[in-house]
Amino acid sequence: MASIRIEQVWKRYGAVEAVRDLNLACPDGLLLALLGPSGCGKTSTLKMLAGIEDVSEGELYFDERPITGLAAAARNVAMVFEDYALYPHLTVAQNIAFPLEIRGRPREEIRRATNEAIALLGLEALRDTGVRLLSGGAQQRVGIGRALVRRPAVLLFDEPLSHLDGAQKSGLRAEIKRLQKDAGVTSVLVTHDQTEAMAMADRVAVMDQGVLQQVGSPDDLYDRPANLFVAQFIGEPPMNLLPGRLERRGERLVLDGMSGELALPAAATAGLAGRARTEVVVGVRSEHLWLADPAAPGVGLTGAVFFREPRGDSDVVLVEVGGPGAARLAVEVEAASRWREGDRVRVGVTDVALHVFDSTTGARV
Amino acid sequence: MLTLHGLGQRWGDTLALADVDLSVGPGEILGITGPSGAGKSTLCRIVAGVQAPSRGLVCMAGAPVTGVPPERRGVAIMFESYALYPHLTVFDNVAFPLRAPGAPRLGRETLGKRVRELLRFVEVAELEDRRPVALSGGQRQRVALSRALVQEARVYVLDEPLSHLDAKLRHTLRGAIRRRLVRGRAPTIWTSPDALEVLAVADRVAVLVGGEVRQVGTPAEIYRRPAHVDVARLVGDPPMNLLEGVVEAGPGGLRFRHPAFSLPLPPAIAARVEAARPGARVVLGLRPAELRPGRAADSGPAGRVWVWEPLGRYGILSVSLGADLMRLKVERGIPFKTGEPVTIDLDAAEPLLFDGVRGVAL
Repeated sequence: MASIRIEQVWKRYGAVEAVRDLNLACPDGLLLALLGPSGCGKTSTLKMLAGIEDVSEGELYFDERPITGLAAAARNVAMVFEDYALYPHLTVAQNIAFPLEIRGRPREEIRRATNEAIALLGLEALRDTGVRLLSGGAQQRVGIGRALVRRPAVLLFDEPLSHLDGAQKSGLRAEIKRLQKDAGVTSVLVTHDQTEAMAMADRVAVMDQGVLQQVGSPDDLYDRPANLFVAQFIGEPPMNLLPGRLERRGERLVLDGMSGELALPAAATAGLAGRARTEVVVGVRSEHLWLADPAAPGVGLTGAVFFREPRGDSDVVLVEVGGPGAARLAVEVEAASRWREGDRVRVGVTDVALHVFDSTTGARV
Repeated sequence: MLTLHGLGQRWGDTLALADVDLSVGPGEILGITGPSGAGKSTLCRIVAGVQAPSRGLVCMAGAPVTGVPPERRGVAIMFESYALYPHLTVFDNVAFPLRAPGAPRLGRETLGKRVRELLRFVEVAELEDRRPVALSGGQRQRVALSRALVQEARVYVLDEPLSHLDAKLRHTLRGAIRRRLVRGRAPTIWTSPDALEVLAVADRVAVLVGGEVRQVGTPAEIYRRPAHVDVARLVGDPPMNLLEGVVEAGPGGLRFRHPAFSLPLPPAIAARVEAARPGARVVLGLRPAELRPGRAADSGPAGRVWVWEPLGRYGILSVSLGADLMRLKVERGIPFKTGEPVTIDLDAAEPLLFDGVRGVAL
């Protein structure tokens, strides 16, 4: 086990800067997720930690000891791959024992460590089964067992769930989280899926175009996104973003834009008086909007229901405001709602803290 | 109107489709969901005519189309594998069906307009001169989708149209495609292994498992009244909790007994179970959103926190209950510690019961 620190790290491929001045840490025993779209630098970062890629500039530390110059084999890291990368002709137990076999560990140690890993993963019934015959989820558990058996200082997960479907994915997601906690091994998870990162990680680092955007607990990222990129990336359905101009109307602030004025709740605009008459982007999560008949009193934007998406426990209603093809707002309401495509509706904002971003820099105000 | 009658497909000893009867009305979207290997793609290929079924009939507008070659069926299919022409540009791939022999001749300008409208619709307009090899997986999928939608077809078949797109694009395209399709009169088949996707876009949904149709119904019916344990396993996010146990008679009526707890059956369910003898093996279904975590002293099944997954406004709490895990979808706010005791409050639950052997709903 080890803590990880990444200090002023750059990764360049020719003229391309894949990772730019990255500073990031993961305390001992926690799981850090690197989250972002393809090309954001998350995989390059993982590969530098693994020692598969050189660091162009900067320093990596495990337990505050610099490891940048160490070869991959000397770092005591283990990796879990997207496509499992198992030996197809070997059994579950043979695959898990493999890393110890090739290191020439004593028989007894291999037997004991393999049995421990098999028990931890609940693979007892499958130990002598060829891995080719296993489901994707079971194969990935073997992949994790093979990584854990070496007792690595750091465990690296490269998109471990992306080849699994539905129930297998959510099942293994919880299982990896629990295993990581039980084993107490410091881990880094690379994923493009915000649900995975939020569900599994203690800390999530959001990256875009090689630059770290924000790092924090899943709740931090959801409640206080640092900029527009994080706001859009975290949460499902994605946060509604309403561009416009803050204007003062008596005591209150309104957002003038999207062909109408939207009254902003008092709680949301406390401390924003100085921003009156500036261009901003207001972010509202779908659960903080409500729908009513257009004749209902009160202020809000009017629009037409574009699409109602039943999700079982709730309906997500997409409302087109400001005319066809203009902005669409996602509003999450109780299932099964009465709204249908084409219905005229009024959209209002619940009195909660909103997210306000500078329209030029995208930074949280 | 598209109707499928007694469709069967046998590959050697495997039955890929067994006695499938389905109908899709004009302007209707029939969603088909099921795990991989359920027979979704086989069904699509049979409707398009690129594969002949071992048995059964495909009818369009009431007339069998058996023996009608694919190019004369008027079916616009988007293949799961995309099947783009590698030597053609994005534009020419999408224009291909409009230039095919038998397609109504379009002027150069009309054709260009139709193709570009679709490329804009799926947000790949700037890529029209590229070849498929220079596209990402998600971009290829959108080109394949526009090649299907550009046609004025008698039937649309979209086999996993959105599976490789990122969450945001998938979300916006779902609604846009649905609106486009239901404006017309052609029936559509839309498949996805993600039950949530078809429940969001379809008028009715068929759940296919192991080549058999387990249930056909509106999204609300599939959610509220899954007809089979296989259906219950696929719907919901997270999916329904399914716990094996037995029915036993107690002082207050029939009860569900699990190794870790016992639960009185609601009268409506008990009445239906009366026929099944006490002692019968059953599966209890509990929706994660209808369960609440309680204090250790409260009544209800007692377990321990296995893992907590925060997902923003709510999270998923997994509780170990004997050898089973129960998942609760709970509002954020209460911190949960791994291993601490917790009871599960079932007061708001509307349990479902399935036959433990046949899997059908009781």
